[in-house]
Formats: sequence, structure tokens, C-alpha cells
Amino acid sequence: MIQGTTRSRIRQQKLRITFFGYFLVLLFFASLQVISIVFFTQGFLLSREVPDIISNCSDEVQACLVPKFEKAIVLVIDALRFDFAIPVEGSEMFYHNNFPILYELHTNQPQKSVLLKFIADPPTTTLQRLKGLTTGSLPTFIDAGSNFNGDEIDEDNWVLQLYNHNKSVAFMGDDTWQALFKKYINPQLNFPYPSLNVWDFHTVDNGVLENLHPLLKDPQKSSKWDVLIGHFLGVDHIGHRYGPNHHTMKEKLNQMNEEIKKVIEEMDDSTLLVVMGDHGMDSTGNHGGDSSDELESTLFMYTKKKNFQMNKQKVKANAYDISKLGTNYRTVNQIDLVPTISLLLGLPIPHNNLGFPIDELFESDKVLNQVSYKVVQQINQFRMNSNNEKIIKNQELNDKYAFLISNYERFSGNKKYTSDLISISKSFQYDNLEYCKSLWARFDMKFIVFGLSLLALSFVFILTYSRSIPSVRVSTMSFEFLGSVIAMSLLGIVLSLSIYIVLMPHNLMLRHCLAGGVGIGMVIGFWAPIMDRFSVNWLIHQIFDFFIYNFNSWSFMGLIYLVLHCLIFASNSYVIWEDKMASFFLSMFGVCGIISIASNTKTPQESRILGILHCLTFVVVTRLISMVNLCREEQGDYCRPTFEVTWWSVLLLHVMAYFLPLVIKSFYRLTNSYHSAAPLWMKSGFRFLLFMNATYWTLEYMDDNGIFEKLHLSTSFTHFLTNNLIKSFKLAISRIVLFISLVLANYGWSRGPLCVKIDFSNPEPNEDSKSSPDDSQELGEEKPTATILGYENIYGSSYFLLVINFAAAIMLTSKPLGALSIAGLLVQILSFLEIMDLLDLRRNLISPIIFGLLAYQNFFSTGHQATIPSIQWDVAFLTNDDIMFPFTHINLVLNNFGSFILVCLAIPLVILWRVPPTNKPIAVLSQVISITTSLITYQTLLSLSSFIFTAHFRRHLMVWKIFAPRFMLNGVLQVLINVVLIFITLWFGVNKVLSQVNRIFGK
Amino acid sequence: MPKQKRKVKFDHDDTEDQEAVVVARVPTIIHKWATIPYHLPLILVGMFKFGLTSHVKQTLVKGYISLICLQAVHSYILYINTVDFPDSSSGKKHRKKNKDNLVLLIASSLVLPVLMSPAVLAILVLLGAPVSSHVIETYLLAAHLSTVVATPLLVTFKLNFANFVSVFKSPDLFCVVCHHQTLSSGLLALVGTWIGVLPIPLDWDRPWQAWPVTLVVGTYIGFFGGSVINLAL
Repeated sequence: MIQGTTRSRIRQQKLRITFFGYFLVLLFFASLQVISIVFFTQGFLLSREVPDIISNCSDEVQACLVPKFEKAIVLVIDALRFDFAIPVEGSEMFYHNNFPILYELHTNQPQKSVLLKFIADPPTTTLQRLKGLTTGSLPTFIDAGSNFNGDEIDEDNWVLQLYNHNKSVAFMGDDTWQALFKKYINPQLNFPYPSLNVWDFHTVDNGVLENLHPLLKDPQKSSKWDVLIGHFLGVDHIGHRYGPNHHTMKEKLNQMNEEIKKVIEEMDDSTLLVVMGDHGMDSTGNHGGDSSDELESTLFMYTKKKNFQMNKQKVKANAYDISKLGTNYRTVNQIDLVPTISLLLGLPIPHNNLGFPIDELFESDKVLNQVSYKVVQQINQFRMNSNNEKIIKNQELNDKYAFLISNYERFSGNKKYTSDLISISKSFQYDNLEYCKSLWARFDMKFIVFGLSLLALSFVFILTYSRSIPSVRVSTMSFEFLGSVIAMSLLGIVLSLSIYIVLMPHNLMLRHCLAGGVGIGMVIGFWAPIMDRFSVNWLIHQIFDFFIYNFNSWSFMGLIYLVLHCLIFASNSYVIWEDKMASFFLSMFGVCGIISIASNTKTPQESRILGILHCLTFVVVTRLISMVNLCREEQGDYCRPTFEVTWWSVLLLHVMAYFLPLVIKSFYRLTNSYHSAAPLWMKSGFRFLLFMNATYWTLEYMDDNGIFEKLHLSTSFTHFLTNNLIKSFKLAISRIVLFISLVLANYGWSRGPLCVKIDFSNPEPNEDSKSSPDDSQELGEEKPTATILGYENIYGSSYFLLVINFAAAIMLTSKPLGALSIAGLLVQILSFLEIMDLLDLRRNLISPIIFGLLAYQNFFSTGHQATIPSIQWDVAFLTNDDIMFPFTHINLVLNNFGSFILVCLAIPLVILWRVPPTNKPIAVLSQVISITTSLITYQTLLSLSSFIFTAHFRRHLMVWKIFAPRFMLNGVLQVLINVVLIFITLWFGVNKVLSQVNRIFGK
Repeated sequence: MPKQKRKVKFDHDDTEDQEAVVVARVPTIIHKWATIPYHLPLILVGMFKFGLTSHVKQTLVKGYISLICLQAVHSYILYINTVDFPDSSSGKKHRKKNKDNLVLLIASSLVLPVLMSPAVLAILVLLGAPVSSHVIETYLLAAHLSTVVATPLLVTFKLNFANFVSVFKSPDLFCVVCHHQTLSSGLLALVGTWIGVLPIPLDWDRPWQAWPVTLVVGTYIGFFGGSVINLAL
């Protein structure tokens, strides 16, 4: 007895040490992958050097003009797409014909107002747009990531120029401005409002209006400001939440219409009014990409003096053509606003501006000629001050500039040539803009290649680690790996540091140098012990062995899937249709499973029928899930989106809350393990949480569709109901669900629930000779003939409870159809596990690949696509009204990557499902490591392939639309999968379940 | 030809003593060059000539009618070139010398696939064929697929389902399938249909990327190619 306990304690300790070794090795491996991804990203995502020269009026070239306007009101209506502001005949859409004032003024008072189509540069996110709209420069893609903590702007811009010229800037609205321009805004007239809560349509807008009108009407207050900036967010938020075609959009646009009318009444004669959108929105109401709907926005300028010229030629040439939603309407670039505003207000043009003054705003061609000459000089100054040799030495542009200067000096007095001079200036500006665009789309090939090679090396290592070396050998090598990795990365640091100090490579920063050294050191460190133990020949032999001995039709299928999935990144069409491809592969697996099971004569009839039923379940569920989709823009007419919150999807949530626990229960029943912990989890916990989820989304649906308003209660009560009661109820539900599922249930699980039952009623001799004596020792001697129900699936049944915990949280953060898809994922996983057990695919290549494909399929069917606009930002505010560090981010991660998290959690089940307790837990652990690292291998191969092809297609037309977002998704997934597998799956899950079972049964 | 026959038998002998293995009772085809479905590429080319890419449905119907007619001729050629598996256990009634009702056999081999096609349609939908639209096209694909694949199989096995199932139960399934002309062509036709999906997503905007066209092409080429490749084995 004593000997037994010591032995088991020693074994327990050994298990812990082995586990720790694995944990650290994988942690180091993850950091190697992170380093390689960071290198690739740094090389690929564009960066632009920003000259920090500030223009001023004392400069000879920049000598300021006399201001034409004393004051200006700049009103930004976020996401005001161009067709919102023009009349669209016969359109019944909520977003059409509800904001008529701009076009009315444009046609009725052509000398006082002008309405133009305003083309944004991608990326169409508010922060980037504000930068472009004030500096006149092009933002780069990398800036897009900082939208959520907008950093201060240090480039020359017209808000800064206003400040430098002692003008007082008043601001109200979206706090992105506050983040960018805090220093330049008059602190007494600064009214920022939180911008990112897309569920709130009115706070920002009402805040703007509250502060705007007093500043206009009150003569005392109106003398306090020179430029007033207001930024409305309602339209954008409605778009994000409901899409453009929703009745609230009509109300919002009508409100904007009234407010603009009021502002026009209240403003005085020397004021310029600018109303504009910063970007548009696509048909789902989102933005960020570069489709024409997202780029096309509105610019409207108005003054009470007759100051503008409506060029008659343009009217004749039908430049203001509103037919076909204004497709042929005259367009100006967003950056053109910058020189225009600067010149009209008598400010120097910001140094980095690339735009050109807008024709209509200068009363005659003569003035226009003057200002365009000025802008051309400014652009040339920017070119000459650039720290990029290529810009300075561009001969074509230099010649054009010299030609223009000489001609201007000769002909500027002559009226005949003014329009020619203007067009030369325009072409100079245009060429320069295009040149800068092409130049800033520049890639650092050194970093790209280095990152790729590190990733490729990490792939070769993880492939060897997971599949070539026998898993039992791997378990003994952990500490060798650790030693050599640490030593080699230290050596790498020292070497790279000395290289940096001695050679001083001029275009390499210290951190890059160090990271590179660590990366190379780690790769060598990982390979040293392998090379020490095995030869290259032996490893190659292993691969041949795989093809000769372990190769069957299932591994062949796995290989085909692997190759095809990697090859999709070679073609933009396949990247677009990845969602269909994943479902196609999965259904094919299921159908092949049916054939295989049906023709397998060795298994008894009963389990064959059961197996066929599992396959059928798998195929049918896969097919049903594949019908839930969100279309990306490129899929065009071939795709019909079904991912909407509808009454039936909400109803199905309730049905699911009842049935899903029953389905899982039936799977547990198959292994006779629906005992003790399982009913507690399923019947009380999971069903309760699912019901709460359903309630949440029911309230959400009712709230969205104005069902409370339709009840005809008194208005104040309705208001109270929707704004206070329902809102706090929803917050409470979501917080409770997340707390229970992520904290409470996981704590409970960590105490080690087992789904077994000791059956005393059956006193016949136990067939399992191993279990009964062990058991009797634990329970005392009085019932030596007890059987343990659920013995054969002891690891799996307990471990799956952990998967359920996370599934409940993920289902809350997914929208109704997404939650249904996640429910399908659970069923898919369970039926795959049964199929796998029957077909003996535990060690087969296909298992991790099917798991990976399951994750991808459900990523798409939970309403996501590999594009930035498809991120469901609105779920960020599920648990909190505004952004609060962990909660908002947790929601977004759970929503976006829920399927991947679940699959990463469930992958050890391939080894653990239907396995009776063993007294060799280390062997089980090493198999679990092998299967989890196989999943990492799969994802690494995908990342590698997508990185290679994205780098290869870096000049492709579709790179920013299709390839780059997909590569970013893969990069994020690579990190996420590593983190989830290491910390949650292995450290929390597998470790607990193995040591718990070992403690009780391992003797 | 005899070489192949011997090989199949050899494999059986090899495994027979280990356990009671089901023997693949596969009929043998004697003149493989004669049983190549020469009509399939003809029909395919004909369908393209008659505007498969512009009027998908109509052309598929026309093609199906001609397929049925030519399949009947092919069935006859296949029938006279088939020698039943000389096995006593499966009963002697399927010996070639026994007078089968030729007309009934060919007729039922042609009708059964038509009856099967709804089931094939269901499988296609399960595998991802569109549900809400293009149902008729998918059904026509199912009809073509089942007639091209199943008719020769039914004729070869003389409607003996047990013999057909025995193929799947044999331990060297792939060997048996690869060395038999009709079986391997049938498998390649299915693979061809599977691969036929792959070019559809490409953004080339060609008319032949319309829904079932590439799959039908895959089926025809798969079956024809399979029987040609089998000559070499």
C-alpha cells in the first residue's frame, strides 16, 4: 500500500515534469513563430517616412494669400455615402432621398454652393481619413491598426496651421479628433464624445448639436471661435449595426437634413460651411476596404456670399450627372480639400500635401491659376525635402516642373493660356500623386524573405517534431531542446549585438538585429538535439516509411486536402471562395466515411449502422452549416448572404437551447458516461446558459426591430423600457453568461469532474480485472464487485466538459446564426470522434486536417470572411457600454476566432476520446502533444503558403483587397492557435485531466 | 488479359487462408479496346456544338437522350465482351452460357440509373450543390452521372448486386478496382466530377464555368479516360 502510493506519487511527479518540458518547448516554438511573423509583417505592410517640416507664411514660396473667409464650419457626417445626398428617382430605400438639402442648394444657388463626389483613399477607416483630410497625404495600411488608440498627429496639417496662426478651433463630436489634434483645439471649446460604441446612435450627434447651435447663435460665443469642427457619427453607427437600409437610417438622415438647414440659417456671411463624409459604406453598412461604395463620399461647400464659380463648361459637359446613383458625377479627391481649405482661410498649405485646389471654389480662372501655381510649388518643395532619393531624382516630374515654371513666368498674364497652365499644373500634381502611391506601396524584401525563411524552418521543425520522430522519443528530449534553445538564442543575441556594434549596418535597427539573432539561434537550438540523435538520412527515411507503410486512402485524402488548401492562396478566386471549399472537403470526408464503414466487414453490423449514422450526421450538419454565410464583396452575384438576425434564427436559438444538451447527452450515452458531472454540466449548466443566450438575442432582436414601440405603451414607458430596462437586462445577461462560462465553470472543471458512476447493483464478477481492485482500495473493501460506468471514455467525457464551457461563451458572442453554427460544430466534432474511433483514424494524418477544416468552415459560417470590414465590431459592446480593456477585447476575440478556439480545445480528444484509464499517462501525453503539434503544423503550412503567395503577388491588383487580409488572418491565427493550444488546451485542459485520472486510477 | 485475371486470383489465394475473406467476384472483360465508351467524347463534343454553354438545360436534356441511345449500344458491346466470374459459390445461373435475357438486362440497366438519379441528386446536394437555385441543372447532372457510371456497371455485373458489393469487401479493394476496366472508369468518372468543381470559382468569366458544365465534362472525360488508361494496365 505504501509502496503503491509512493510509486504513484513518483509517477505523478514524472508526469508533471514531462508536461512542463513540453510546455516550455512549445512556448519557445511559439515565440519563434511570432518572431518570423513579425518580420514578415514589418516587411510587407507598407510604411511611409513622414518629413516633419511645418510650412509657414514667412516662407517665400508659401507666402499666404489674403483669407477669403474669416470663419469656417466643418461638419463631418461619418460614412455619408454619395448617393445618400442626391435624389434617386423611384428608390424606396431608407437611405435614399432623405437628405435632399445639399443637392437642392447646389442646383438652386450655384454661386453659393457646390456639391461634389468625394473620393477617399483606402483604407476607409475614420482615423486614416481624418489624417488624409487634414494633412493632404496618403495614409499607409499599417496605420489602420491604430484606429482604436488613435495616436497624436505630428505631420503638418491645417488644424495645426490654424493653431499656429492664433485661430481658435472649436470641436465637438467623435473623439478621434481629440486623440489626433488635442494640442490644437481650444480647450474651452472642446466637446469630445466616445466614438466606438456603435450601438449608440444619438449620444455623439446630440452632443454635437447641443454645443453647435449656441456657438453659432450666441454672438458672444461665436466670437470665440474661428473654425468650428463637428463630427456626427449616427449614420455610420446605424450602418454598422443594421446596414444602410433600416428605418432608423431615414430618421437619422432627416435629422441631419434639418440640422444642416438650421446651421445655414444661423451662420453669418463671412463663414464657409463645409459638410462632408469621411468615407462611404458597403451594402452591409461596414467600411474599411476599397470598394467604390466605401470610397465614394460627399463634399458640400456653402457660403452666403456669391463666391463660387459654377463652371459653365462643366454644367454643359454634364459633370453633375445624378443619374445611375451619380456614377458619372464629378469627383474630387479627399486630399484636394486640404489645399482648398488652407487657401480659402489664408493659411500656408501643409507641407506634405499632395492634393490640388478644387476648381469650383475659386471665383475665376485667374485666381485658380494663381492658387494652382502655389500648390505646384508647394508639392515640388515637398518633393525636394523628401528623404527619398527616388522622389527627388524623378526626372520626368522635374522636367514637368521646370516646363511649368518657365511657362508660368511667360504666360501667366495672358488670359488665353490660363486654362492650359491650370491643366499642366493638374497633370503635374496627378503624376506626382500616382508616383508617390506607387512608391509608398514599397516592400522590404529583406524582412519578407527573412520572415519567410524563419517560418519555413519552424515548419520543418514542427513537422519533424510532430510526425517524424516517434512521440515517445520526443517526450524524453524536451530538456535537451530547452537547453540548446536557450543557449543558442543567447548566443544569437550576443552575436547579433556584436554585429550591430561592430559593423553598424546603417539600415538595420537594434531590435530587428536582436530579434533576427534570437530567431536564428532558436532554429539552430531546435535542430541541434534532433541532429544529435538522428541523422538526416534517418529522417528522410521516416518520410518514405510513412508513404510505404502508413499510407492508406485516408492519409491520401488528408494530403490532397492539405495540398489543395495550401494552393488556394495562389489564386484570388479561390481565396474568395475558401468558405465553400472547406465545406466541400468536409462533406466529401463524410461521404467517404459512409462508404468506408459500409464496406468494412470486420466491424459488427450494429456499430457499422451506428457509424453510418454518425457519418450522415456529420455530412448533414456540415451541409446545413455551409448554408450560413456572409458574402464578401468579391463574391458578387454568385453569393446570397444568409447571415442575418431574423425571427426564425432567434427562435431556433431557443429550440437549440433545449435540444443541443440532449444531443450531447446521447453521444455521452454511447460510451455510457453520462454520469455524475455530465448531467450537472449539460442539464443545469449548459442548458441554462444557452437559454440565457437565446433570451439575450431575443431581447436584442425585439429592440432592433422596434417591437417595443409597436406595443403602443405610453411613450415615456417605452423609452424607459428600451433605454433602461432592456439595456441593463441585456448587459446583466451577457455578463452573467460570460462569468459563469469562462470563470465559474472553468474553476469547477479545474477541480476535476469525472463522468463515471460506480454501479453497485450489479454484483456479478467484473469483467475488467484492472479496475475493480483499484477501485475497491479507494472506496473501502465492502463492495469488491463494483463496476465503473463510463470507464472506457474517462478522459474524453471529462475533457469535453471544458469544450462545452468555452462553447457557451462563444455562442453568446456569436450572433444567432453563428451560435447555431457553433452548435453544429460541437455535433460535428462529436460525430467525427466516433467515426475516427470506428475507422481507426486516431494517428492518421486526416484527423488534424479535418479539425483544421472544421475551424475554417465555422469561421466562415459564423458570419466572418477574411476581410477587415467583416469583423463584427458591434459585439464588442455586448458586456459594456464603452471600451473597457479585457471585456471588449475578449468579446471580439471570442466572436472572431470562436471556431478556432473550440477546435484547438477539442483537438486532444482525438487521442483522449474512448480511451480507458492507462497507467502510462506519459505515453498518452506524448500522443496528445503529437496531435496538437500536428494542428500547428497544418496551420503553419497554410500560413507559409499564404505568406509566400502574398509576397509573390505584392504588385497584384487585388493584393490589398484579397491577399493581404488573408495573410493577416493567417498571421493572427498562427499566434492565436499557438497561445490557445499551449495555455488553455495543454496547460489547463490536458494537464488537469491526465493528472486527475492518473491520481485516481493510475497505480 | 489472362494475366490480369490470374493476378486477381493470386491475391485471393494469398489472403484466403488468414480469414474467411470475401472474394471479389468480378466479371472479366475480354476485349478491352472494344468496350471503350467511344460514344462519350462524341456526345460531349456534340453537346458543346449544340450550345451547352448558352442553353445549359436544353442541351443537357438533348445530350441525355442521345446518351441513353448510345449507352444501349455500348451495353450490348460490353455484354458480349464480359465473362462472369467463374465461381461456384455465387451460383451458376450467371454463367455466360446461361441465356440471360439480353433485352431485359440492357433495358433495366438503362432504366435503373434514371430511377437512381433522385438519390444521386440528394448526394450532390449534400456535397454542396446549390439548393435554392439551379435544381434542374443539378438534376440533369445527376441523371448524366448515374447513367454514365451505373449503366456499364449494371451490365457488367448483370444486376447481381451481391457480386458488386463483394468488390468493396475484398481486402485489396484498390487493386481490384484499378485492374477492372468498368470499375476503374466508374471511379475516375466520380473523381472527374469531383475535380470538375474546381475551375468554377475562377474569375475568368467564361461561359463554360456555368454550374454543371464542368462537372459533366469531368464525368465524361473521367469515364472515357479511365477505360483508356486501363488498357495500359
